Amino acid sequence: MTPTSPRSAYSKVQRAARLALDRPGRRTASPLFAGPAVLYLLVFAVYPLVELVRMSLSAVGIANLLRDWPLTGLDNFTAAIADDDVRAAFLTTLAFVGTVLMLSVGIGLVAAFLIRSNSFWARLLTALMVFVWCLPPVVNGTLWKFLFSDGGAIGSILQAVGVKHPPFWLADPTLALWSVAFVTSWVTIPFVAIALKAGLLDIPREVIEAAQMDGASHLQVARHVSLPILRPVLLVTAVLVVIYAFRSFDFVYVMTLGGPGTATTTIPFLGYKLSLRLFQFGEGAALGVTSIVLIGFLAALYVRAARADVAAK
Amino acid sequence: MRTVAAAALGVALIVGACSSPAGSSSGGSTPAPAPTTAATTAPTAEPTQTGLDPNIKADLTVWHYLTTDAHNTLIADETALFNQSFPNVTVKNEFVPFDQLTPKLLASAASKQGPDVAVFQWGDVQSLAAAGVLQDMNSYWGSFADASTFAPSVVHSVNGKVYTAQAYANLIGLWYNSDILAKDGITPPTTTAEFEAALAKVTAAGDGGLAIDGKPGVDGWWTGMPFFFGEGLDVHMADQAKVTSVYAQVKSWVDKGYIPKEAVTWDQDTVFNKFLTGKFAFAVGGNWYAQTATKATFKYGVVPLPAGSAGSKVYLGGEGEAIGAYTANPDLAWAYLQATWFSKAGQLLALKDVGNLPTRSDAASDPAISSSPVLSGFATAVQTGVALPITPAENQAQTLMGDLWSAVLSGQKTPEQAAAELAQKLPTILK
Repeated sequence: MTPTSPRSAYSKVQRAARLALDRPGRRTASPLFAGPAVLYLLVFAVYPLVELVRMSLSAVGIANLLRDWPLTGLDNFTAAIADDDVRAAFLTTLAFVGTVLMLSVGIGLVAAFLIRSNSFWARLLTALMVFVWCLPPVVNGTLWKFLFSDGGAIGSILQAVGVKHPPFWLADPTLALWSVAFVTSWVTIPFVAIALKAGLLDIPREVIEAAQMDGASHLQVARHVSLPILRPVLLVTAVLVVIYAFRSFDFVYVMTLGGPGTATTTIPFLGYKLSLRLFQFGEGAALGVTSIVLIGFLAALYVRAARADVAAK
Repeated sequence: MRTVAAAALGVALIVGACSSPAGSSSGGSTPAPAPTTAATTAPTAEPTQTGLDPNIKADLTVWHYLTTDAHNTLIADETALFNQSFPNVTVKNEFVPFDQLTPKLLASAASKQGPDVAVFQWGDVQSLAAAGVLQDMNSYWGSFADASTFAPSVVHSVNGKVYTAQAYANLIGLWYNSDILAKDGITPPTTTAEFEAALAKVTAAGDGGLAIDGKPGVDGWWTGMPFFFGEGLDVHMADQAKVTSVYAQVKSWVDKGYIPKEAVTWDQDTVFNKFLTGKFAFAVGGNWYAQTATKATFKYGVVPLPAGSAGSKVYLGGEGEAIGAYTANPDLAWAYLQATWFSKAGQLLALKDVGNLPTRSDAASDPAISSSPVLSGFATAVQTGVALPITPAENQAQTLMGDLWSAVLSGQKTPEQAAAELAQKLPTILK
């Protein structure tokens, strides 16, 4: 008898589930169950989103925030495009997202291989990573701010090993962005590692063993067997990391407040600054809407990648 | 639309509920006073002029962003002072982080709610009044018997109506470590040239130079602007060559090691904590550190910030107190203000508990100020103080100036680039 592969068994389960859902009388129940969630989304997501778009198309400042909003069309968007600060923030955000993506997925992949087994050290490492992941961003950001500070632990260790003048991790405008990106990655790595671990565990054992019997080393198995099978999961995880990094605000706020100067001012932080510090609500909303469109595009990529992953199974 | 605006601001507040920037631009969240001759008897409430029944039973909500132990003591003392006149009024003092207070006031006003009294950065008065968040207290101030004890510069009007007054003035000066200066043979500087020479001497001797706030935004603006005022510039910064020169001088201090490079990550509280380590000869800090300074293990003093040809000028900060637009009992809110922050007894409490400089002339002449070398130094600087900018455009200019101050100190931008950017953007912002 031909052994059933995990993927074909999974497809059978899916077909069975679909048949169960198609039973007469089954479909009429589902809209009622979705009702509260839909209502919640309409009130707390859709309606504010509609008003955000309206704000982005209007002249809204502190004087008329609680009064009428005169429509100005795309003025806020054209002003944003022409604004050097917005362009600079966009480039900063791209660099930030790229760094977080590379570090998170790269180190997360290595970590996934390390925690794949059920050994004590693998479980300990997993527990530590989950702990880091669960810490509030304010705690993480403040902790690393102290570590990076002059006289902090990192500088002290570097001096102890002979580095006379440790870098100014958060005060140097060329280093500050990478430092904040590193901390953001540090928090994202556990998520990537756990997601990829699940993908690795889903790889049929027989495929790995077959490659090993053919003389492949661990590295060759990882590169030529595991990674290609893992590609759909990697893509889904990467898209989620990009979305997270793109909208990341808390670490910038806690660690650098967008500085030194404007060196770490990303799009989300600039949106916060425009709206809640300068009370230029229209311009801030325009930035917010632009970010939503970009994240929506990335979310569409995620959905597409997720569907491709399921189809591959 | 208003409800959604409130919801949007509410969500933004939740998102932004991270650690707030330490201190405030108008100087306020560090430990307290203790001038040398503090009053030994409890303050007595002065009779209010509202005609309210003193036995009225009500709740009174006060929003503020003051968070240190000293400020908590002050708020408790002010509450106790008020309860001497109105024993059955429950005063609920609610802390709101500094950068969230204005958005929260706006969000609550959207649903026609808000505090009875707001203790806020008075520079926002025009914005908040325009947004309908504050109630004008023109009629109250007009019949206030003690109004003449307040200098006009601390009573703030919008469209001819009084919306807030400052109960105290806060400002920055140059704190110095007397022990280091004595060791290095330096007297406290009064001019920029003397200051630079002093910095060169102390750093050559292996001591720390100047601890200063170099963070972007309002922090950098509050600390950096006096350097420009001292050269005769004003908020318009019209003389680009002079602006470049000031930036270049301060940047050179970083390059020479007079100012630590890491100062661009320091807020006001961090600066003063660095000063208290005893390693720095100088620090730019406010009068509200008068109590904190008593923890120093070295001798210290304060002089006005050294300046160039135009003389030392600093912003006069300090919180303003106002009545909320949607208070259920404006008379009671006014009675509270009159009995506490705007009274002589209340202002002396602020002096005693925090080191805030009273704005009433009868309180400002208290011997606790003249007998304190620290507070008398600041009181001198009040005479040449500069009023805070209050229009939304000026608020935008503040942020630009603060960002550029931080950018120059860190090296992100050259002095020439920063001056050119100011020259390009400021006229449009302030037109």
